[in-house]
Amino acid sequence: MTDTKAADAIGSAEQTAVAEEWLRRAAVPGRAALRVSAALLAAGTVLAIAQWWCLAVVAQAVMSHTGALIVWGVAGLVAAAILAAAATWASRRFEAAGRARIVGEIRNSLAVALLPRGRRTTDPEPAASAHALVELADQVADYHARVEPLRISAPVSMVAIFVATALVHWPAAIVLLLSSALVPLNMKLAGIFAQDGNDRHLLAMRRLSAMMLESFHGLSTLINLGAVDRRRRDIDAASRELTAANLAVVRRAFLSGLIMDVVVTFSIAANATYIGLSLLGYVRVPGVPPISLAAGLFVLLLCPMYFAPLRSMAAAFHDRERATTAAKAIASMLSGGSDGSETQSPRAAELLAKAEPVTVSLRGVRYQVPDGDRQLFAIPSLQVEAGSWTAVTGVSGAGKTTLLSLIGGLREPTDGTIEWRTSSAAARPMVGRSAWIGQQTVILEDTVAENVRLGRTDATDAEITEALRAAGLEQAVTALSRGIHTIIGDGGWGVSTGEARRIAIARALVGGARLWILDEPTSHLDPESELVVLDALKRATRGSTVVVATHSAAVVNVADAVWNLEEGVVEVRSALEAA
Amino acid sequence: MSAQQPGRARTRVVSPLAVFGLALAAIAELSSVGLVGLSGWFISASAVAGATLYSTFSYVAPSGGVRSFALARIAANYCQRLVLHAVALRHLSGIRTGFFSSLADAPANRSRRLRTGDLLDRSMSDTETESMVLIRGIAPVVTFAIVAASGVAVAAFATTAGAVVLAAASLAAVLLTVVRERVKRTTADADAGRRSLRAEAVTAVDAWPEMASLGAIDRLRERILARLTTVADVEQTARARGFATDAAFGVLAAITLGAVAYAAAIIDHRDAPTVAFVALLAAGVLGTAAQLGAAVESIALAKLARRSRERLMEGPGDGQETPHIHAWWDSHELGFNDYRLPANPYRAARDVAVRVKRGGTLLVVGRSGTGKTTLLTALAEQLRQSSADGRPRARTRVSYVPVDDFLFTGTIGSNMRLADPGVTIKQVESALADLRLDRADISAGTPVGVGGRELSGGEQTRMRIARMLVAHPDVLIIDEPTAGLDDQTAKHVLGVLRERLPHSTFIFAMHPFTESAVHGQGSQILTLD
Repeated sequence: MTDTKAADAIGSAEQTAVAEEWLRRAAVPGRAALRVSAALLAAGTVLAIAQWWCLAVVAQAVMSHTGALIVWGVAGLVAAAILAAAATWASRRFEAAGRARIVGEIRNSLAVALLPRGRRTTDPEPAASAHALVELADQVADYHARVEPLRISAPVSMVAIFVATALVHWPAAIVLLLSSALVPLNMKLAGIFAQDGNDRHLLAMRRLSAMMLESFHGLSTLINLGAVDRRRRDIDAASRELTAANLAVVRRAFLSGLIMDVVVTFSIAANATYIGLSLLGYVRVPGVPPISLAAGLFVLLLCPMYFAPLRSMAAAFHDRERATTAAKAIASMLSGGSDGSETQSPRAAELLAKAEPVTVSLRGVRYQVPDGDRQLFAIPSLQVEAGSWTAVTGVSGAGKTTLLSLIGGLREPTDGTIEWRTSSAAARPMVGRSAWIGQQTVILEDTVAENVRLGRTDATDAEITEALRAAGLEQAVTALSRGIHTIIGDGGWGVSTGEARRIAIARALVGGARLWILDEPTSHLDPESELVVLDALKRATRGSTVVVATHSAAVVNVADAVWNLEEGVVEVRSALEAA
Repeated sequence: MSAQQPGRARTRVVSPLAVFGLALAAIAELSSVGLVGLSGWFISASAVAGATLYSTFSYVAPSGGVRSFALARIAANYCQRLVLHAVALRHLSGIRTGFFSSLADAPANRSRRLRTGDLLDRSMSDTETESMVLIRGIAPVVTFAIVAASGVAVAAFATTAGAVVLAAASLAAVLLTVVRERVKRTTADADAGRRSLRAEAVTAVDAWPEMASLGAIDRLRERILARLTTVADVEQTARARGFATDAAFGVLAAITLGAVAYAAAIIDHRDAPTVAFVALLAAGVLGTAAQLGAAVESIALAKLARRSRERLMEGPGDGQETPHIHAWWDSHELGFNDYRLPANPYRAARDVAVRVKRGGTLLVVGRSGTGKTTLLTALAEQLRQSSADGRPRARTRVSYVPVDDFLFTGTIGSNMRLADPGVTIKQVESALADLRLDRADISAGTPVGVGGRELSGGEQTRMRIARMLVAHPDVLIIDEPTAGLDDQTAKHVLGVLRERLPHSTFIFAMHPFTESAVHGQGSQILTLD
């Protein structure tokens, strides 16, 4: 059972194809820089060829006792080697530049998908999103930065070395050619080996990860049940299985590495023996002029260089799997949100934004969980009266937050219509035209004023001070060293949960929306701060329409109407009865 | 194995087998350098002999040497990889299990603070960084030390001046590596930058509804992207410094190669075979040295990973110290006193004390936020400590089922077996029938889904209770035992609990609306409102 589960998790072929396609396109922004990097890499190879030629010449000069040539040869050797180092350095600079462009572009598109201006069709998991934004983007860029230049420079380098060898002594080039004929065979073998072992490895890896994650989640349960030791044994077994699978994979990889080693090593040994015997005059290929020491040494030195690009390619192959996994995760997130503006008449938007409190009406609204057939709730007909407080109650998971996002236009209902109305206009809910306050708010590492100004960019300091007063933060802020210009957040004045929520209130106030949607605005607050926040909310929303999801009796107490959401049905209670 | 020492997963990656692997790695590299050096010498010597009449040069020994180096290189390379990987992977498996153990032994308020995503990171990827240092870090450093020392020694036989140059160059390579690590030492900073960035991204995605509703998404996005760019720039600068030192390394190699050739040919007046041999030897030594930078970096990363894993265990708790309570239980009764209820809008602060006879039931009743869960948690912890007498087995005799008690991926049966590994299918099925779970077509083989998500809320509650039924605790503390159950089922479930565990003492926290389900069963009630 566990195995079929894990196999499902590896993902369908279709998903893989989409991810591969995305991975390919992700390289485009950095391609120009990476091509320059490739050209420089190839130039480095040519310079290295020159360097070894100089060394060969030095040896020849030593044999013939031409002192001047030795000095010139050494000078040429050093110069070529320094230039080769410079070419490598420049190539890596360009590689890094290309990498930066790729990573920047991935992050841009991820930011748009995860934080869309318009609706969001899926709820991205915050931790996974952050991971993708910060780490996975890097992994993809690393892969491209490594492989893309090699893909061009490797064949060029190999051809250059082959040609140089052939020009100096063509029979040696034939040795190279024969050994490289073994390379595709080896690659094929490696591919077959790898495919077979990788699946088992991946399964074992996922199994252990899932097991670890659950053990951390359920640690207190394990302690409770006295099952820690048993769980440890299970983890140990899963961990050993992963080790075995891992070893099986590397053993196969080493086998193909071994074949490669044999090819490289024996072409060096064969060339050395052949050249040595030719120089001694024991071997003579008909039609080939006798070989000189310089030519022989040069051919020998180029031999290991010829295979170096192949080795780099094989090493980069390893990054591919990581990049593909990252690509799968990123590609699935990119389909999550829309940045397109909604089709609403600007006039209706204008009227709704400023004029008067909004009435929200829901007709025949039904919501079905997107990937599943579970229906969360169905609401025949309901209305949130203008200027009233409506509390939505119900157990966790009953769909309170979902109902709020439908009202706020952050999600589309599966069926039915939701409308915002005033005496002069009516429109479908619009993202960006209401005030939402949830359990989480963003406190930027910036001044109090700038944090509040997120609500409306052109808010004046006076308006901000007024909003802070209404949110009940006036005293706290005036006590600060630089008032509203004090830096708060991570690197500044620490903000408590209750204060953060009141900053969110001030922010919403300067935004000026007349429909407030509050998602458990007082949860995680001690009773005292709950009353303070509630008080601030009451004051701030005077004359606005408020829908609030809550578990708190204190909040229900101040509501004009209570909707209790249970088993997908909304039961309207009067406020008194509920309290 | 090492994992049997819980909490002290300080096993070292360098074992005798690892030393053997490192020796093989050094032999492989020596053969590699030897192969090229000897080949160069052989070719040059052949050229000299070929140009001389009546030479006595024998090609048999050198070409045999070339072949031996070739074979040694291939065999040693293959074996060292196998041995070192086997050692590193076993070590990895050991520290992973050890990590879980030390976490399980940590005090509750400490492990509560840790985020599970972080823990997974630590247990899966950080441990890998730690173990693989043998291959990525230690092996290249050891290999370089051996190759450089033997290279200088061998060169000294051929040319003193050349050997001096090579020794100086090896030293310079080490110095350059130290410098490289110094200028690149932004790893820790970048790590911290990334961490805070991740935290900001998490809140941003979490708070998306707020920001989107306000129309403030654009600014938020700009902000995050700007910070990402800043961190990326810092890393880029570090990388660029690394490139620069690598280039300096290239220049060092170039100069060394030239200087060795010059020293051997011009200063020491050696012949062509010796010059070729020494120059190629120098090239080999410097080639090995080129891997030093990456190796030292990986050692630093492994240290960092290990330190942050250890710090995880040493850090402070979540600040939510369990409130003080004095509690006891024995074969006659269970009781507690000295528990202070803080003031809240509905009540003044007061102390509470309760005694319950063995086999009795205590209901803790109050609205949300009155402190039911806090009281239950404190009570469970205290009772376990007072009953444990240092024997961890006794823990199972006091069972606490929090509202979010975890259901593990697997089947109903595998969850029950966690509580009692010896439980039979028959016992499982009978517990399910008692709790009327069989009516929902749930059997021992039914999968519960990830975290129990394939079960409804009411089914999950009953599943948690069923798990406790097979564990037979003496004291059973349940937070909201009737959550998600209708009145009739709730009554039935509580009835079954009492029937199956007639001598156990029950403590249930309940909401005022649901408490009616257990009224009239002779239970004591403690109201927190």
